[in-house]
This record gives sequence, C-alpha cells and structure tokens, in this order.
Amino acid sequence: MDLIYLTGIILFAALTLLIIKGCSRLGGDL
Amino acid sequence: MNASIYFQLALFLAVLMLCAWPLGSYIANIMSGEGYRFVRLFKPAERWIYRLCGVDPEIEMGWKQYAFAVILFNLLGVLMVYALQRLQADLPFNPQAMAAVTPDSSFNTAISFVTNTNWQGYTGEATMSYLTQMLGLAVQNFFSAATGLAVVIAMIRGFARHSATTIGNFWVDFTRSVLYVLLPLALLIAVFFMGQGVIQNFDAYKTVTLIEPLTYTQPKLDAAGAPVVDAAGVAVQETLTTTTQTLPMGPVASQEAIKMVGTNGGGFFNANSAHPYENPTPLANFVQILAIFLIPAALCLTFGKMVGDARQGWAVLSAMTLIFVVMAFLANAAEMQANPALAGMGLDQTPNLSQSHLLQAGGNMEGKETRFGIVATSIFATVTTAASCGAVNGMHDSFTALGGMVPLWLIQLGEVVFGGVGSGLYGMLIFAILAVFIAGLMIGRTPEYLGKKIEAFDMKMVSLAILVGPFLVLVGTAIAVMVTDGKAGILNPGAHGFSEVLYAFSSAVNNNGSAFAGLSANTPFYNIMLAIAMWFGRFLIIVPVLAIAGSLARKKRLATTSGSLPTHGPLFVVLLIGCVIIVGALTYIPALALGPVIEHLSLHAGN
Repeated sequence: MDLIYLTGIILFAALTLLIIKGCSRLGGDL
Repeated sequence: MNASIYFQLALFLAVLMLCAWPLGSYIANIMSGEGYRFVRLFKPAERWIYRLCGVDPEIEMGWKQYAFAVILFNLLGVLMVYALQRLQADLPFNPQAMAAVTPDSSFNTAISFVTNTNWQGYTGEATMSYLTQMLGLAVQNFFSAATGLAVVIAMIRGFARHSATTIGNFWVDFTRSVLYVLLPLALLIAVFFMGQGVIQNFDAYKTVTLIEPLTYTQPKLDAAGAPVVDAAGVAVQETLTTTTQTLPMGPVASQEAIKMVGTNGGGFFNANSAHPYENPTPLANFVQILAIFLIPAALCLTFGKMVGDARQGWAVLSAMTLIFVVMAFLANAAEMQANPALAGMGLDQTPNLSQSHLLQAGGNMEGKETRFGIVATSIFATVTTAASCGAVNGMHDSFTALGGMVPLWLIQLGEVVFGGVGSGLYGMLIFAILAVFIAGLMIGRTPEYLGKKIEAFDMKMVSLAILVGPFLVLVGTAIAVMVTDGKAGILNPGAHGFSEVLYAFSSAVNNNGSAFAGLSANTPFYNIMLAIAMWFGRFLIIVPVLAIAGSLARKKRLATTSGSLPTHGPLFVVLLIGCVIIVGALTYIPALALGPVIEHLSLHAGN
C-alpha cells in the first residue's frame, strides 16, 4: 500500500513538472 | 449589530497596520540582501546552510529552474512527512505509544502540510506522536510558508526588474524567509502564547479526577468499533458516567505560533483554537488573528517598496482590507440573528443583559466558545478564511446558513483577501493583471502594469492560475456527490450536506484547511481526492505565477505617460475589487445556491 501512495506523490510532482514544460512551450521561453 | 464589532474590527485593523508597516519594509530589505545588525548576527548560519547544501547564493535562476526547485523541495517534504507518520510507532517522543498512521491518512496529511493547507482528517491528540507533530508538521508549517514567501518575492522581482533573465535563487529566498522572518516571529509569538497559558511540554497525557461525575450519552459501538443499530436501523445510544478526564499534553505553543504566523492553521488538538490549551484568553485570541494577517499585510508593503512606489502596495492592501471589512460585518450580522427554528419552538432568544453576566447572547451561539462570543468568533472565522489559515475558534459548520457562506465564499475567491503567506499577494497580483487587462480592453490601449506591457503569454498564465481553482473545486465536488464513497461521508443530508462537501473541496484547493465539520472525511476516498485537490491547487498556481514573473522580468519598463492607467488610486482599487468579486461570484454562485442559499430559504420557510 505504501508503494502505491509513494508512487502517487512522485506522479503528482512529475505531472507538475510537465506543466512547467507546457507553460514554457506556450511562450515562456521567448 | 452591536458596538463590539466596530470596536474590535477598528482595534484589530489599527494594530495590524501599525505592525505590518515596519515588517513590510524589513522583509523587502531582507529579501534584497540588505543587512540589519540583527541579520548580520545570523549571516554565518546562512552561509553555513548554503555550504552544507551545496548552494551558490550568487547564482540566480530563470523561472523554470526556480519552479523546478520549488517542486523538488516540496516533493521531498511530502516524502519526509509521509515516512514520519508511517514510522512514528518505532520512533522516539511517542509517550502515548501512538500507532503508525494509516497510509491514506498519511498521504493526505503529508500533502496537506506541505501545501500550507493543513486540512486535518485525523484527530491530532489521538493520532500523532510528538515527533511527528514537531519534525513533520511544525517543520512543514515553516517550510510551506517560506515557499509561498519565496514565490511572491520572485514575482515581485518580475515587476521590479527589466530586461533580466532571472528572478532570484529559490534556495536563498527560502533560507532567508525561514531564518530572518518566520523563525524570529514564531519565537516571539510562542513565548507570548506561553505567557497566556498555552502549554509547552513533552509530558504523557494526564488523567485527572472531575469535580463532579459527568453523565453523557453516546452511540453504542460493537467490538469492531461500528455503531450498533436497532431493528429500525437507528443507532442505539448508551448512557455512561465518568469521574475522570484525560488531558492531552504536548509542545503546543511552538506549533501554535507558526500555525498562525505561517497561515497554516493545523491545530495541535482537534478543537484547534477553540481548545483552551491552544487559545486560552481573549488577548491570545486577538494576537492569533493578528498573527494570521501580519505577513500577508506586510507583504503588500514589501511589494510597494520593491517596485519603487509604496502607493502600489497600499492600493493592493486597501482592496484586501475593504473586502475583508465588508465580509466581517456580513458574517457577524448573520450570526447575530436568532435561529428561526428555535423561535418557532417558543424559545426566547433576545439578548439578556439584565443579569450581572450575559445569560443569552441574542444570536447563534451553537458551536461557539462562550469565552469568545459571537463577535470574536465571526471576526476569527472571517480572518482565517480571508487568509488561507484555516485555524478555527468555533465550528463553522454550526454557523447560520448565510454566516457560513461568508467563510466559504472568502475561500472560493481564491484566498486573495490577505490570503496565505506569499500566496495571498501573488493571487491578488494575478487579479491586478486581469484588472489592467480588462481596463485596457475598455479604453482600447495595450494593458500595462507597473510599466510592464501585459501580453498574450502573461494572460494565458493568468487565465490558467485563475481557472485551475474553480475547475478543481467544482469537478471534485461534483464527483464526490455522485459516487457512493463520496456520499457515504455526508452525515447531514440535503443542502447542508452539499455545503459540507463544497466547503471541503474549496478549502483543500485554495489551501485553507478549515472544514464544515459534519463531513466524515478520513476515508480513502476523501483522503485521496482532497490530496489531489491540495497539491494541484497549490502548484498549478505557483507554476504560472513564476512563468509570469519570468516573462515580466524580461520586458523593458515603459515610461508612465498621461495615457497610462494609474494603479495606485481609488479607481484601480475599485476595479481590482470588482474583478475579484465578479470572478468569484460568476464562478461559484450556482454552487452556493444549491448549498447555503437553499438552506437559508428552507430554514426561514419553517422546514
């Protein structure tokens, strides 16, 4: 059970990092 | 309405402004690296922390690098708090031999404290060891507030700098926030609280003999701990008599101080600031609400100083204050009303001032501490939900339908009326950018704020930051009231039950943490759903905020001309308030109509 929740935490962080990448593609690199 | 609300609000705001003014200037200097004598004493400690962590304080970060550092640091925080809860049974400082916290509750609580929400599905005194409270929860109270402070300083640099590619160094901003702002304030306030009677010890819980035996009724439980029901499905009640009471102990004052000044709100005890060991006197209560607003108010003045025009900070602070004052009056007016359901039963609810002590407060006293009364409870509720604190000194669930709608709506406005440490100001600056954009559309000029042209990328990020919250709240609430696991947690059926679910998701997404207490939320469903709401409600706003900071820092600063919209005067303050209220109103009024509005109409219709 712990493994599932730990994976969930890491998944949340990974998704947030993807949002950073998405934002930079919207024009944040300009 | 009585004179007490005028007096208490006026005194509170006057003391708040007197304290916030110098603090705002101090934070601006600290975060700019300027030295005070007091700060120079701690510089070796600051340098030692950088050396230990391998941080070069001279190297600045672009917005993406800054955002990456924020996410990485907070991810590690979640893992740390999760591990502490799961391993607490085998760790020291656990005199009550608390068992390991369940995985889903640990998951929820870890994210809750890291995101500055401090939503508590558990009962503190019956769940957490002293080590978990101190090393896990109290530490995150500092770190989550410092994260917010660092992010808002990065955003202010975006406005203050021009033609720059960096917005600061997260590790430096974070370290300075903890070392020079949060720790000294928390220390001062903790010592003051101890003077007022807040406990601070590592003792085992004490069992004391009651002065007289207490007889009480509670639902009868079977061997598995489930309620026993009769043939009709009604819970069987049992009457018990006790002659003793267990008094929880612990290092409360140290956690209480940062709980308030860091706008965290997670109580050491389940009753939070209604507990006499957390909030023992009216003076302690006053300092608690002062501590909640202190840094958010000061940061507005920090903003003015860092962008080189103090009037800009006062304008934002004025908008926040005006919304807060109106909301405080509304909450108090609603709570001063007698309950029509009780009036229908022939109960006299008129204020009784004829005795030497007040026998009848004349309004809704359910769920309120008699030590604080209606006015101090209404102001506390408004402060704690205007800021993203979430500490409570009374039960919001027991407020009248309209009185309860005030804290609920304040949360839903996005926690921008003072708001959390850092998060309140960066949320309000997002609305300020929206306000100048709308003004630009009305007068046909390219929008500018503080000499920075607001362009397509900035507005995309503003839209993302504003829409994320309502999306998570409304979709989360909709899912919870549709699925079996969500409906199972609703203890009050009908409109009030809906309000409880709506409040839970509003509180989680906007990182407030207070609750309408009638929801049974310590279940895997709510623990997971609210954890998702808290994480993305926090970081899906921080990411666009930092993106805007990066974008603004790169721009040139335009000269102010006669065609520029002044953003320091009453017109802009009204425009800003309008944006906050209208966006909040348009987004949430349908949901509020299904909850508190129906409840109010139903109550007055005699149902």
